[in-house]
Amino acid sequence: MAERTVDVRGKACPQPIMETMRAVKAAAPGDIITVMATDEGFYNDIKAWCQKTGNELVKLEKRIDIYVAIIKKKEILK
Amino acid sequence: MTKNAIIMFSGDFDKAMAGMIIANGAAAMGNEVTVFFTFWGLNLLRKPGKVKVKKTTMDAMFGSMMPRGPEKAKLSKMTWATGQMKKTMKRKHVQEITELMTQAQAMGVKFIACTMSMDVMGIQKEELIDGLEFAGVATYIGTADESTITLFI
Repeated sequence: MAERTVDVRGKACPQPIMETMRAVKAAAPGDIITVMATDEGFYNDIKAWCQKTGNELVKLEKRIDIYVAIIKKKEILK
Repeated sequence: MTKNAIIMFSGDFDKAMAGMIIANGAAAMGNEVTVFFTFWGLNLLRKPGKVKVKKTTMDAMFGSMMPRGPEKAKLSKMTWATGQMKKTMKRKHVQEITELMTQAQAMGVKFIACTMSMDVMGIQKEELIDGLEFAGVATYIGTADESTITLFI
């Protein structure tokens, strides 16, 4: 099981979701992907993205000025 | 796979931004996305430079008055502020319109140019960017019928 980090701090919509998608796509099932973002919309977007794509949102939290999402890849993205 | 169909009717900069952000986002959600470029929206598909093709005087005149490519597009409101808006967007790390379009195509978003509009506006295939498909309303309805979301922008 590998871990990856996606740093999209400072980047505007839709980049956080695009880059998350790329990282998850490149990962193997069961891998953990940590995403760091500052875009306000990311908090809700990542929930919607995980729900839609079937990947598990293990943790989503707002730290002082960034959002951190921990995603576990469930299955291979089509 | 979930399908989405977007009609890009407008060639305005702001509307093109909205259309492309939605197209990219939908592709990232795993959807199969098709964007139909018609009427003013066709200008977004034009190559930035002048392409030598045989045209009637009217077509040539029309063509020279319309923006060549997304970089030439203007805001739908406050057109005079287009340059300022672009600078602001850059400062706030928003992707540029051309980048969004290239990224969409790279993600597998299908770009379709409406052939009837091309004919009316005197725009020829050679003047448009690569990777396009050419079709008409039946193709749009065929895709839209199977789509969960369709937008007219």
